[in-house]
Amino acid sequence: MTTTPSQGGSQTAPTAQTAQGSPRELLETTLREIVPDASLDGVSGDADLRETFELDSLDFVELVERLGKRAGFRIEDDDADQLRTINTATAFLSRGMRRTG
Amino acid sequence: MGEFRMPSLGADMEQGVLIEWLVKVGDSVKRGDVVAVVETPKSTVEVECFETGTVTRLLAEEGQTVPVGEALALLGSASEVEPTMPVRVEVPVAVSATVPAAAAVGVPSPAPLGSTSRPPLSPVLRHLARELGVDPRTLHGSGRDGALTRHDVEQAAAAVSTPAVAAATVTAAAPATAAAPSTRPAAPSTRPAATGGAHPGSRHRVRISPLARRLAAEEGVDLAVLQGSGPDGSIRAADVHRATRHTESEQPSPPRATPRVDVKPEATSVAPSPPPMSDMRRSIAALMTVSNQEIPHYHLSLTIDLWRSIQWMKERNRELEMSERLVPAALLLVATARAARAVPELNGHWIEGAFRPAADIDLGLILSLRSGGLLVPAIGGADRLTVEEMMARIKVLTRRARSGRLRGSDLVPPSITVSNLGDQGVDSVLGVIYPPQVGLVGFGAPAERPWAVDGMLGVRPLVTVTLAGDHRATDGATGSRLLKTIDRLLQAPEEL
Repeated sequence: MTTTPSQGGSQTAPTAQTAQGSPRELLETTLREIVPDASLDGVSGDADLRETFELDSLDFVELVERLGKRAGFRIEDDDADQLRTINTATAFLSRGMRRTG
Repeated sequence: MGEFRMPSLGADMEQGVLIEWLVKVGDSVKRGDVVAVVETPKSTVEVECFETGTVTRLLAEEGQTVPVGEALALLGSASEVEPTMPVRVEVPVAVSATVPAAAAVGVPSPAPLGSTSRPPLSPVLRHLARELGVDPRTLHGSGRDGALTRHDVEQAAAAVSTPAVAAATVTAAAPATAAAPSTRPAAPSTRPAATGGAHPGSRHRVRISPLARRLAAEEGVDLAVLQGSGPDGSIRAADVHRATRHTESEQPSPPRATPRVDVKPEATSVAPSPPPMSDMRRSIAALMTVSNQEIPHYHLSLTIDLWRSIQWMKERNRELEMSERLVPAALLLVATARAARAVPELNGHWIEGAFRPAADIDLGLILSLRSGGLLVPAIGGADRLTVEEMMARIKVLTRRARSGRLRGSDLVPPSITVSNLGDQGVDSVLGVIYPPQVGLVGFGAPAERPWAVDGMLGVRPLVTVTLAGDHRATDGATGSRLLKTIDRLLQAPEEL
């Protein structure tokens, strides 16, 4: 594991970028820890992540927790809507990573 | 002198296969220690010891099928074991062959693993790693806190095997996987029966993989005459396959009806038969058939306004660490457990024509697995948990169930069960009771809907809760009380 748990965005965006690559890669890597054979290839950018990868509420909360740790900022409950599809999630992650950086 | 017995890991379990001993004669164990790995039709379970003492004798061999309740090992005081030569003194020759695999193969036990900072490897994974010829110490864990996952081990094994071999073993692996616990993720499964993988380490005897042992028993192959192709001559499933093929070519026999161990490509000429049913599917089929045949079900449903609960949860979540964050299911389960305490007529079992109330609220939680099938672990004393504690329990149970690492204590017989199918997006659950329980509570998906409050129409998060009740034990009025209690509790989440 290259990431260390961080709270409240103490990790800087450049670190997150170097360690994890693009927001899309970050999303895919994290997703794969929950759904081992998950791949974003061929998945529409507008497809619902929870439906596509059959994430139940526990999987999703785990995804949010891990994404937050990796990206280096706290993701609130109300942000969950932003993580609905690949497109909205990558946009949300890059905004958040830019902000903390 | 105490006995460690084959535990009952489910109401329908009659026997289990002892997969691995994690202790040896002379080891001291205390209550709660994981001492063995047992395979049931539904899953592979790490079984804990319920007594404290010293292992004086192992009565069952790895690979042996043992009925529930039969002694697996004897426990006594340390003085009953000769410390220097425990095996020679205490164990008869036939049993000494089962001296713990971990010691024989040189796979590190959890303690040495602590040298790295990652969590200890579970026995089930350690076992898998050894089966696949993978050294877990060399792997990079992708799980939580760097923990090794089943996927890591399987990937490493797949990397070890050459593509040609992997392709050849896929046909063999499919039926074997179906029979094995179905808790493995639907990852590219190349359980490489034929691939040894280099595994250094000396051993004192020939190891036989449990799969090979099972296949040999089914096929009537004498393991003693087999030449092992695994590391250090260990016998693997492929060796048994080879022996079976050999016998068949010598003595032409009619094509076998079951495709179970037929690995020959030409076996496709045999008339296609339906895919073998997994043990888990069979077990669910049997239990649910009994339920529908024997239990006169009644069903009730109630729509609950979750607005207060969800507001409260959001507030809590703002204060909690991300890793402790709550989901609505935690509140729903706590409310159900407290309601079951308030309506004890629905918490218990119907046995021999009478209802036996249960002392504790052991809340069964139906978990569906990615690979298909269900597991129903129980949360003991669920009515005494806070919402946060419940959340933590659900997460641990789900993780253990999905990685095939449930503990024996997770599988105590529930006194009432909850099906939270809301996660699958359906509105409501018309459940089927798990016998011998008398009630099953089902939650649909919480969703925003129009709802009248104080004469005003507004949009509220609503959930439909249902009860499937056993009409022999209770009537609808009792069931209604349970659902109304759940509703009342969810209107005051701060008191949960």
